[in-house]
Amino acid sequence: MDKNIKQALAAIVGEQHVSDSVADRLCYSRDCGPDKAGLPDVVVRPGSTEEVVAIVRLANEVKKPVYTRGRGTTFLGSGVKDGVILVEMTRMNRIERIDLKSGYVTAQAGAIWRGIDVALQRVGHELAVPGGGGLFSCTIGGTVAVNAIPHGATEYGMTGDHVLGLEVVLPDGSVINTGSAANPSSEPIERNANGPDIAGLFIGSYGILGIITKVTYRIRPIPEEEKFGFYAFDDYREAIDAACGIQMAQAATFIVGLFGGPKPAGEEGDAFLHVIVRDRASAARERLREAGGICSAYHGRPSSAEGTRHYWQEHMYSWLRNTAPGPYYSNRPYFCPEVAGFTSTPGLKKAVELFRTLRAERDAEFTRYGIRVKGLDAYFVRNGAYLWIDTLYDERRADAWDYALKLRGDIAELMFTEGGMSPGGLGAGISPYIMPKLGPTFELFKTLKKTLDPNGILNPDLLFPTGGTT
Amino acid sequence: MNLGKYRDQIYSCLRCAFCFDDFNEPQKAICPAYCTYGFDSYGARGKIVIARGLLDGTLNYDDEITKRVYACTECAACQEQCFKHLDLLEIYAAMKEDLAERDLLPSGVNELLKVMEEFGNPYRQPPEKRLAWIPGRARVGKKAKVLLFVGCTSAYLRRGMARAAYRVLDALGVDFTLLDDEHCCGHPYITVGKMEEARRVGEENLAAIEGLGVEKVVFTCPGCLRTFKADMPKLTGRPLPFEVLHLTEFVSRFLSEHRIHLQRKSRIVTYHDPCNLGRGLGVYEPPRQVIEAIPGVRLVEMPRNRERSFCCGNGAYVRYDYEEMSVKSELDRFTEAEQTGADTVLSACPACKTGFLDARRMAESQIEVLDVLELFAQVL
Repeated sequence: MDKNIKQALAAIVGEQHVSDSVADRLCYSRDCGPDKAGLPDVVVRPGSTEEVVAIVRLANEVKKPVYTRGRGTTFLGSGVKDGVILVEMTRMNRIERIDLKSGYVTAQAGAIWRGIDVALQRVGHELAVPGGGGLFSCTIGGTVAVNAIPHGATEYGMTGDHVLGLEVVLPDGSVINTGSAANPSSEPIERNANGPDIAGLFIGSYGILGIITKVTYRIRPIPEEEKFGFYAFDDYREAIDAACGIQMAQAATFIVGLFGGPKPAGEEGDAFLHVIVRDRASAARERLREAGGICSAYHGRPSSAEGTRHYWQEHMYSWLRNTAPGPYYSNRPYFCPEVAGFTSTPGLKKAVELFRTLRAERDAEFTRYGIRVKGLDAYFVRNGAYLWIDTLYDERRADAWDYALKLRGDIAELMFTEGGMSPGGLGAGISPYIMPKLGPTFELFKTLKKTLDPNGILNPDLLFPTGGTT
Repeated sequence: MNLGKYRDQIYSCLRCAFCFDDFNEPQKAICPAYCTYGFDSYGARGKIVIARGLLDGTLNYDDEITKRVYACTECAACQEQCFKHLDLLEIYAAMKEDLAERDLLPSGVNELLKVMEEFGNPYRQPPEKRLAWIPGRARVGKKAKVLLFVGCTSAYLRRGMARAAYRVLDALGVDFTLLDDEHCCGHPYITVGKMEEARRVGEENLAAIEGLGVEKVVFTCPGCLRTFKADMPKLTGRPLPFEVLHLTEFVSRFLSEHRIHLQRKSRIVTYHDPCNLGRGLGVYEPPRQVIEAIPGVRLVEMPRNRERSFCCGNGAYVRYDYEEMSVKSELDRFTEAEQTGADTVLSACPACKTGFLDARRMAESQIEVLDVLELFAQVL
C-alpha cells in the first residue's frame, strides 16, 4: 500500500475514517454470499458527496480502482479485487427530507433501509417497496445499485421502479442529478423528466458506472388493513395457475410460492402459496376472499396463515415454512449460492420442473457434498415470478464449497438458457454466466462502461472483464 | 487456540449486519464501539470475520486485533439481534483469552491487572477500607440467611449505593450479613481474559460465603452478580450452593409478599437497563416493579429500553483504554434519558451510575442521577 495514497485519503475524509489495517480490510472483502474475493489495500469512509468526488478524482490520478460498498448484504458476489480502494458509504446515512405531500424521501446513499422505514412509519408512511432482499440492514444506495428484490413484489413492483431521482458521482468525479432534479430549480419528484431515464442506467449497475450518493424514493401511506392467506396444493402446476389467476384479478399485494425445499411445518402438499393483502379494510377482506376462491378453484386447501403473518411482519424467511427463526437458523454453518431470476408465470412451471429434475439427477452428488435445498421459492411479481433457487453448503468443507460454486454456475446456465430466466441483480458470482449471453446488449454495456469510465476506475471487472485500470 | 471451540458458530455467521443497527430507531447503531469507530471490525460482524481469519490462518493475533476485541463493553446488544443466534460474547471471551495468553493486552488493561494484583480491587483502594462506609460491624461475618455482596465499585466508589442497600435490607427486617474479608468478584479478570485469576478470587469468596451458611446472596452490582451466576459455576465446575439475585429482584419479591408503608415521593423518573442485568441476566421487570411501588413516582421509558437498551459505555473496564468511546456512549444515553423529560435518571448498577454522573457533569445538567435502591431507601 502506497502510504501517499493513504495520506491523501486521510486529507480528504479525516484520519479516523481511513484504515489500511488488515483487520479492517478483511471485513470488506466478501458479501453474504459464497464468492471468495480480494483484499482491498485501504478502506475509506466518506462523509459527503464532496468527499466521494475527491476520492474518485484521486483514484483517477493514481490509477487505482475503487470499489463501493454499502452494507455488503447481497449474496451475488462483491467482486472486490486485491489492492483496491474500498469506499464504504455508511457514514453518509442522513435522511435529508421526508415530503408527505409530494410522496418521497431523500436520503444519503448509506442510510439504512430499515432506519428510513422506521422514520417514515412515525408519520404513517413507508418506503414504496418492502425491504431490499429481506436483509433490511442494507443501505438504500446499495439496494438501488444492485436492484435488490423487495420482500414482496406482486403489486408494488421492483426496487428500481420507485426511484424518483439519484445523485451520482461519475467515474470522472463529476456529479449529476437524474430526472426532474436535474433541473436545479425543480424537485426530485419524477424520474421520467428532462429527457431519457438516466437513473435507470445506474439501477442494478452494481456501481460500475457511478457511485450513487443520494436517493430520492417514492413513499406511500401505510395501508389500513393487512390480511393473510395460506394454501396448500397437491400439484405445483395448479399452485402456479392459482397464482396467475390472483395476479390477473389483482387480488393480492404479495404472493409467495413454495415449490421445493422443506415443507412448512405441519403441512402436507406439493406446493404452497402465501397470500398477503394490504388495502382499506373492506377491500382487503374482499380481495383475500377472491384470492381464496381462486386457490380453491385450483384445488388449493386453506390452512393457518400464522406463518404468513409472521413472515410479513418480521421479514424472516423461516416463517415461510412456519418455523420460528431461532431453531431454524441457529448454529448452522451453511451458506447459500443462490440463483434467482424472472420468468413469466406460466414459464415458472418449466423452471420448477427443470430444477426438480436436476435435483433428482444429482442426488448422489448432493449427498456426497452435503448440499441441501433451502427453498425453491417464487416471489410473484406483476407480470411473472421471481424464482429463488437456494441451495446450501457447509463452508467448513472446501470440497463442498467448490462444488456449490460449480453447482450455482450449472443452475444459472440451465435456468438462463432452458428455463428462460433473467436475473434481477447480477453480481460478480453470476454475471460471468449471464453477461456474455446478452449479445448486443452486452456490447452496449461495455461501450457505456468504456465511455463513462475510460480509466476503469469504478468496480472494474465486477459485472464483466474491463481490463482493469489503464 | 480457545477460539477453536467456536469454529462452527464462527462459520455460521451470515454477515447479515443485523448486529449493527437499532431496527426501531432511525439510523442509530446499537454497539458503542461501532458507533464510535465506524469500521466493521469494531462491530460484531467484523469481529466474527476476524475470528474466522484467525481460524483460517489468514490473520494472526496482533495489536490491531487487540485494539478491536477489547473495544467492547460486553453490552450484548449484538447478540440480542443476531440473526443466527450466535453466542457472540463467548466468542469475544475466547478471543480475549487467546490474546491474554499471548500477552497482547491493551496498555490500560495491563495497568488494571497491576492494580488488581496490588490492591485486590480496580480502584487502588486499600482492602481494609472496603467496609469503611458501614454504619456498624454488628452484622459483619455472622451467620445469617442473606448475604449482601457489596462489590468493589459500590464499596469504594459509589458508597451511597452500598449504604442504600444496607439501609433497605435493614429496614425490611432481613436477617443479613456481609463478608468480613470480601474480595473482588473476579469480573475484571473475566472481562480481560484472565480466567485462572478469576477462578482464584472466586473460590476465595465462595469459601467465605459458604462458611456463613447463607441461603441467598444479593448484589448491587450486576457485574458481580453475573460473575457469580453465569461464570463461577463454569470456572469452578460446581453449582453455587446458594441463590444469587440482584437486590432489586430481592426487594421486588419482598414487596409482592409483604405489605409495607412507603413514603410519597413526587418524581418523574426514567430507568436505564444495565447491560449485565438486562440482556446479560434477563432481569428487566424487578427494578421497574420497585420503582413503581413508590407512591408518587412516575416512570417514563426511554425509546430504547429493556432488550433494546443502549449501553452507557462503561462496561468491561473499557474506560482504561477507550475513554472516547465511553464518554460518547454515556453522553448519548444520558441525552436520551434527559429527552424523556424525567427529573431523575435511575439505574441499578454502580458503573452505569458512575457514567451518568460523568455525563451530567459534562452536560451541565440538573437531572438527578440515582440508583433504584437509593431512591427506594429514601421512602422507607
